[in-house]
This record gives sequence, structure tokens and C-alpha cells, in this order.
Amino acid sequence: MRLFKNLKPLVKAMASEPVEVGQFVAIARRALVNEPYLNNAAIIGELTKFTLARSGHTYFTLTDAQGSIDCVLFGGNQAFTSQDIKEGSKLIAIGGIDVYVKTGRMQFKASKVQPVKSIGELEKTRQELIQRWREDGTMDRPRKTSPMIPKNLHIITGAGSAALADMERLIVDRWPNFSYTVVPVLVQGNQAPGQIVRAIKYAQKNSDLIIVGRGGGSPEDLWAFNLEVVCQAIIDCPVPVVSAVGHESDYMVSDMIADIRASTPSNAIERVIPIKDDLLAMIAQAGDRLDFAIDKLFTRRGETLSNIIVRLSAAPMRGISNAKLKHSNMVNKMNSAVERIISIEKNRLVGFDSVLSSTNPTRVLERGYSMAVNEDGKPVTSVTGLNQGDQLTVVLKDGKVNTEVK
Amino acid sequence: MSYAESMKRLEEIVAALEAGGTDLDETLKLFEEGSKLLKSCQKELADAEGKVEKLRLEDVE
Repeated sequence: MRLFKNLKPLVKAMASEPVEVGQFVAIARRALVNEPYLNNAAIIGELTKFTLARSGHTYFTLTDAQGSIDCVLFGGNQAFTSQDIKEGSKLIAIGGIDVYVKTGRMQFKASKVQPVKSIGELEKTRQELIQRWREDGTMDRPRKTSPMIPKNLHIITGAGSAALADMERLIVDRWPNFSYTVVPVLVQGNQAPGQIVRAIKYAQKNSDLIIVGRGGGSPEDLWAFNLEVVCQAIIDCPVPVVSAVGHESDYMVSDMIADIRASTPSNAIERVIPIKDDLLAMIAQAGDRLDFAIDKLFTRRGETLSNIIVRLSAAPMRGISNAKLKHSNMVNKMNSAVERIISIEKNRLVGFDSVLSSTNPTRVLERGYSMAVNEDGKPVTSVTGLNQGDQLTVVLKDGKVNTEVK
Repeated sequence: MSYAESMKRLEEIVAALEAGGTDLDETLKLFEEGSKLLKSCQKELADAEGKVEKLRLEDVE
């Protein structure tokens, strides 16, 4: 911060010769009043002395361990009485520096004063907030879930804080090269609530997950996360918000209403950033299972197919061989039947043969008989029909004799 | 499809193939879908990597 940028020309004017004291104080006043940082400030201190003037203006002094300043709030009596401000109260005065040229006395010209609530008073407000959100269902509203792999994580926390360093280290451990955005804010003090709210409103435009938090501290340090304005921004955020404030034992209103409550900033990282190697292993395993399943299915299908082929090719053969067998059985049966018939016939023939041979005339001839046959070769068995001069042949056992009937 | 959804579907496909009983057409379709999901999951992982951006308060205000 560069202060007193406006002072240069004035200093130049004073360098050549002495200036009147009033002019000097007026220049000093102008330098102070024109300095934006001093002209628009909020100061905090203990109210050590105050006067409610009859004019309606309030003159008071703010003090802390390092310093003290006289202040004025024009028409401020009403503000002091209505807010029950007493000596010893901790007070925030908003306004700017001024110098009363006549006396050369510096004072703080306040436009507004506001008592700082004690932790007890803050706690009362917090309990009322929790009660109200319990009753109107805000506490029970459905929560958004974190994406398994956040593509555009925004971390809202103190720049250069130990909490941020912890989170960054843990992210690198879990997933080197993981991309994310850090939104720096003041996490304690008067400006903290406004900055946190603005950071949430900014982050929700680009991000798919927001971590808002800080490391441990005193209850007062952490108090921004108990304020309605900060918690309402978390509730209204369309992107899932992780509340990661303080230590395990610190339980903020933001923890109660956020989509995800992390006990510490490190815990927030553990909850939302997966370990890359685990994911790779899961993918590899799924791939192996897919390959193995398909191999097995095809092997099985191949087996089934070759089984079918074997059965298909075997089936007609078996049919044929069955038929063959039937056929050959039949043939055998037929053969044996034929053979049987033949043998029967044979036997019959043999019988015939013996009958025949026993009646064979030549066997009679062998016993000394003879037989006469006519010219036609027919046996002559009677004299009837024979005439004198007929030629007969007499057949004997060993030859024939031609004879004539006389 | 988100990474979580892709992994869930992949698990279903693997389970279906491991159980068997799908016809040849269905088996091939599932395998193809599973292979695509594997690729998209790997891509999701790559997409999450990049640089760390540190904003300044003025960027936000």
C-alpha cells in the first residue's frame, strides 16, 4: 500500500521557505483526508470515554493496548442509547480520519458505530439461527453429493495458510497433477464474511465442487462460519459445498448446513479427492474381468459349438449304423431262415433220393430181373397192345438185347 | 454419463457377462459397450489433471 500519494506537490511547496502553522496543519489534514485508506476505515476498540452532547453529537474515545483516538459521531446520541452502548463496550466505528485545524488535534469522524458482540451474545445469535433453520426445514433439506472425480474444484480459504498447505500436500499425495483452483479470502475479521460470500458466488459459476474452510483457531476466529450471511451463501450455492473448518471438535453452523461436512481441511481432501492409483486399479480390474468374461463365454460357446458339430456329425452315422445293424440282423435272420429252409429241403431231397434210389429199375435189374421197352423207349408192362413183329428191347443188368415179338 | 455412473454400468455389464446366458448378439453388444465405458473412464481421469490455479482477491471481487 502506498500512502500519501497526494502529498508530493504540497511538500514541494513547503520546501523553499517556512510555512504558517495553520497552513501546515491544513496541509497535513488534507493529506490525511485525501488518503482513501484512512478516509474509509473501520476501527475496533474499547469505549473508554463518551459524552452525549446537548447538540446531539457524541464525543467518545476508542482505546486498545497499542493506541487511542478521539472520535465524534455527529447526531450520534440516538445510536449510542438505542444500541445500549456503555463505557467498556467493544465498539466498531466506521468512518475516516480528520484533523481539527484550530487545535491540531486528530480525530476519527465516525459515520456509524456498532457494538461488538461478546462471544456469549454471538453464541445466543448462533443458537437462534440453528433453531430457526431447524424449524423451517433448512437443516433437513436434501444435500448434493460430490462428483466422484471433481473436474473443477475450487478451494476457498486463507492464502498461504497452514490449512491450504495441508490440503495441497494431501492432493499431491492422492493424485499428482490434479487440477484445482484456489480462491484466497480472509477467513477471520470483519472482512472475512463478505469475502467468503463473494468467493462462493464467484466459484459457483465455474466449479463442480467447492471446499470452504480454514484451520483451527479461537471461537472468535472461526466465527465467520457461524454467520447467517456465510451459511446462506452455502445453502444457496447450486454446486455442492464442503465445509471444512478448524479441528475435529469445532462444529460450525456451516458444518450443519453444507452438503458435506469435513472435520478438518485435510479431511475434506480425503473425502472428495479420490486416490488416482485406486481408480486406475479399479478400471484395470474391470477391464480384466470384461476380457476374462468374454474369453470364457467364447471358449464355452466354442466348446458348445464343437460339441454340436461332433453330435451332428455322429448322429446320422449312428442312424446309419443302427440301420446297418438292423439290416445285417435281418440279413442274418433271413440267411438263417433260408439256410433252415434249404436244409429242410435238403433233408426232404435226401429222403426223396432214398425213395427214388430204392425204386430205381436198374436196382431191380441188378437182382436178375429184366425190362422190355418199346421202340419209343417206354417200358412194356403188359402183353396187351403187343403185335407180332413188334420190335422190343430187353434191358438187362449189363446191356440191352433187341428182340422181335413172335 | 458421470464417472460414477460409467463405473456402475461397467460393473453391471461385467456381472452380466460373468453370469453368462446372454445370446451371441447381446454378448457382443455388452462387450462393445463395456470397452467404450472403460475408455471413457480412463479419459475422465486424464481430464481431471492439469494445473493449479491460484486466483487473487481482485479476480473475485
